[in-house]
Amino acid sequence: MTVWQRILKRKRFEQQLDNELQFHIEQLTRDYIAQGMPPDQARQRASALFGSAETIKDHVRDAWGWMWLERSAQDLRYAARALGRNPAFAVVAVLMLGIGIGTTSVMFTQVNAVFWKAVPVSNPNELRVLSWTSPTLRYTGTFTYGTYLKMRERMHLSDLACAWRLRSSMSEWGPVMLQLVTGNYFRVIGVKPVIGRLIAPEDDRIGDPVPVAVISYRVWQRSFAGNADVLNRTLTIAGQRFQIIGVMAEGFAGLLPLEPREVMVPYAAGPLLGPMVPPRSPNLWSCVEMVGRLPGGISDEQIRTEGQPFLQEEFAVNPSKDSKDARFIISDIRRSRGAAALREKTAQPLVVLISTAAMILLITCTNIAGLLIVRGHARRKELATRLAIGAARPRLIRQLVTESLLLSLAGGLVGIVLAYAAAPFLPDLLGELSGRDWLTPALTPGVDLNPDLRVIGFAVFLAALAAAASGLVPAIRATRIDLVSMMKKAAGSSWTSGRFRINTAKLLVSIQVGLSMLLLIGAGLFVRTLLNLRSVPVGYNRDGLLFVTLDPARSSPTFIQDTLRTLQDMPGVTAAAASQWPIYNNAQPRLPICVPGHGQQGMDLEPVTPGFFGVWGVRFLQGRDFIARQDIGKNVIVNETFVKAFFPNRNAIGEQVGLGNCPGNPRTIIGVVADHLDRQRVGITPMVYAEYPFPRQTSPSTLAVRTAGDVRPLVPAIRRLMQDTKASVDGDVMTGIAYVEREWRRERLLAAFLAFFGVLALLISCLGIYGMLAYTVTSRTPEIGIRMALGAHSRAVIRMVLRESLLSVLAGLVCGSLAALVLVRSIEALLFGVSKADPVSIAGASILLAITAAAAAFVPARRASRIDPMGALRYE
Amino acid sequence: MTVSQPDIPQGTLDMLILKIVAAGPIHGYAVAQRIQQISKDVLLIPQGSLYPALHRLERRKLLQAEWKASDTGRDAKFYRLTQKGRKQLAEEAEDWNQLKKAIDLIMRSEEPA
Repeated sequence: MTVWQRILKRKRFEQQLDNELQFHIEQLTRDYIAQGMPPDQARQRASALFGSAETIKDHVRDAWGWMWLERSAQDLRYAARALGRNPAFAVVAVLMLGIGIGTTSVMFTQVNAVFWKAVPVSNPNELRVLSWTSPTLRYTGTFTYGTYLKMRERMHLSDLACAWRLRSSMSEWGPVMLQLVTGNYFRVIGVKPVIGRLIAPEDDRIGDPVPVAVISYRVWQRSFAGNADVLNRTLTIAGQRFQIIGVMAEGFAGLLPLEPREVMVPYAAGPLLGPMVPPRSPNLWSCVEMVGRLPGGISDEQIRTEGQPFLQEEFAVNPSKDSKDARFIISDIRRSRGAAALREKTAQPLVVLISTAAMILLITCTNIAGLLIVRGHARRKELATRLAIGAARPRLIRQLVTESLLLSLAGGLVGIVLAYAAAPFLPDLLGELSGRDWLTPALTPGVDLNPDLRVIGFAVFLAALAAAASGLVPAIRATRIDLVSMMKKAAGSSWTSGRFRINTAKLLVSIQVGLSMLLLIGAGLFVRTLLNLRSVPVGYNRDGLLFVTLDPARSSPTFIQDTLRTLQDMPGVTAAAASQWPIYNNAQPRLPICVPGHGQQGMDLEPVTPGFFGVWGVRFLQGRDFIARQDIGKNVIVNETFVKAFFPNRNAIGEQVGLGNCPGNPRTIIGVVADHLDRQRVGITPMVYAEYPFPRQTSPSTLAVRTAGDVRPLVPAIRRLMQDTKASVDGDVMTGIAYVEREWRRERLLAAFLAFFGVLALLISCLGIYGMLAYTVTSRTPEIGIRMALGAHSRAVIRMVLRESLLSVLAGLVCGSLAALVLVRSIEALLFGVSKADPVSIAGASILLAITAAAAAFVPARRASRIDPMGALRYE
Repeated sequence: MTVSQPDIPQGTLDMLILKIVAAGPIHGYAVAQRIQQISKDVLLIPQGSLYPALHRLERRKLLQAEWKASDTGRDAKFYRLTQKGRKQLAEEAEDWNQLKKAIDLIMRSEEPA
């Protein structure tokens, strides 16, 4: 019998039980009468002997396991009625809990995506990534297509797929990030299409490729509004049309969440993309990402042993300088660098965000606990009556906690709705938090951010926790009633009986103020970090500067020269120059440079075109700039820090340094430039500039354009130019300011969220202070009335009430500051230029809180000062 | 009713009810009456535990209930032993006999000097 059937049969059962017991009493009465008792007495006697029919019924219900249901239903009805009597309180509480649970759930959705759903494929536990490493190799070792084919045939994996991530290329949609995948790729990783079909083996014939493409769910939504018509569309990349055949599962954009690939085409289609793929034998194409499924019964160790010999085959066709002591690597996809990198980059800021959200929830619970205590006081007559007529205290506590549970569950529901509703409006949290190096332009990480059952379960768990946190103490408090004294005082308005509760309410206010203080100090620290980052002198002129980032693999030196010339001819452009590395590039390798008297030093060597310093607005302190083609391979320019480090108090012009390991290729210093910062958090390091093109023929990737007037109209013009010349643009065209701002996304996001949470905490705490004082004033009304009747000024009354809140606010301020001092250690790495005990943040938060608290306290204080002494005395 | 009455040993109430019901369909009031009669007023079932016990046995499918007219003409709930109840009764009776014999043996043994 299911619970529902039972409820349906419930009425009949009650009826029958009643009949059964009634029958018993009748029989007993009949027997007594038969023994000669008068009928009235017999009936009375029978009923008395039979005992309390209600208790027996309870036991019978218990025998059927109905008691639990019965009591819970009763409690729920009672709770709903009690809340319904004070709808304002219920609405405020549900909304506050909703905001608390909602924000925490939103943050948990992100944590969920990063830690449990980072690789949105089926059975990720079977997927293995194959690669190699060696003591000298800096990045992950990859294989070529030829070796891949052999491994696929000979190794004991269910199947093996390979993918080649390409840099961005211009399409009619703007720059797109592409990946070539073998025909079995989607089958191996187990990703399904949302509509259409995905790339299949018959699309992937080397030498005879089919020009088809699949796109990510995100691109489908963004560029095609989720229209199924997309299957009739084509996409032109590098002049080649690709038929769109399907949309990949939501959240999937390749196996590296931080390097998402929104468009995938068959591996064999590489040559169709023209200069993107070197026209060599397909066997020498690269398999950057090799992924296979491990069949049951085969161990990782077996595959490792099997894979090792393929390294020799690989190095035979594709020699590597890092081949010495190379080891074959097989790694679980969930621990591979994609998922791990996402976790590593977002874990700390996410912890900060979810903790702040949790603190909001805690403040909310504390606040509601305070409100419930006040309510408990208002309801003590009702509770006392119920206790007096024999209700068990645990049962009363249960009923009161059921009220909190009802509030919390309603709050949880509001929270979940809020989390779903807010999802489309949220900033790309993970994208902002992870930050990116120059290898990945601004793209949203490929993770599945949909709230799932885990998120809903989390919200329900939070609601239950909130109910316990906010309801238990007030319920225990409220039912601790001294019945005798309660009965003695007819009106029960005594001030002293409330003293106990007021102290608890004050403690709760302190907790709220303390937590708000913590959040406000955090907000202060992050806002100041952002301001500090912005105000650091950079040593070059960001205004009127435009950056165009190019794909190094696809732009030849001739192309750079031509583009610079075209750019310089554009109206509004005064000069343009190229340098090898983009600004804020943390991947830039340090090169050995031999400095006389200092030996070999690792430092940055930046190839730049003549005029580079002029375009950036970097001053020359000494010497001269490069002259086109005259200084290549002969002369270098250094920065101020270099001179201070290696030629202090000396004229560095004319000195020699060696490029490479000592003694190195000799170069003469012809100029010294002012320091300029291009890596914000690293600071300024010694720099050596050489004239581009660098002898090694690596192509520059950053073009800097100096403009005369407003820089913004030039952005679309340059974008068009890049499209016409089919150049591969990476990261688009950006103003100098925008480029730099992009680097501070994480700081900006944290500052914005903490400021938001801080203000929210402030508001909730105000409500808490207000509630506590309003209650104090109400319960002290007679006392205040007497004081005023005896001649107390209204100002004295206001001061008295304000003093009531002073201590709890002060205690909160101090505890919050101390907690902040301890906790700041854990977020030190996210801060910049602020000390751990930042006095500005602490003082600012204190002042803000003190003013708001005073404002919240003033309202009830004013009301107290207007108490009519006569009315108050009558009230007593 | 002033005679001192022994408590019904823990767990034996169910067995007594099963035994009484085994004689044929019977309502709750009669169960209490029969136990009192047969035990010659020694065993009185506490009114508060009779019905919970009956319902417990019904829930365990040892008893089956049916509403039909009693000898007074009023509808009453009659309990009847099920197949399962019969087996249970046999087992409990067997257990009880052994326990009784064992306790008797101990109680009749010579008291130590």
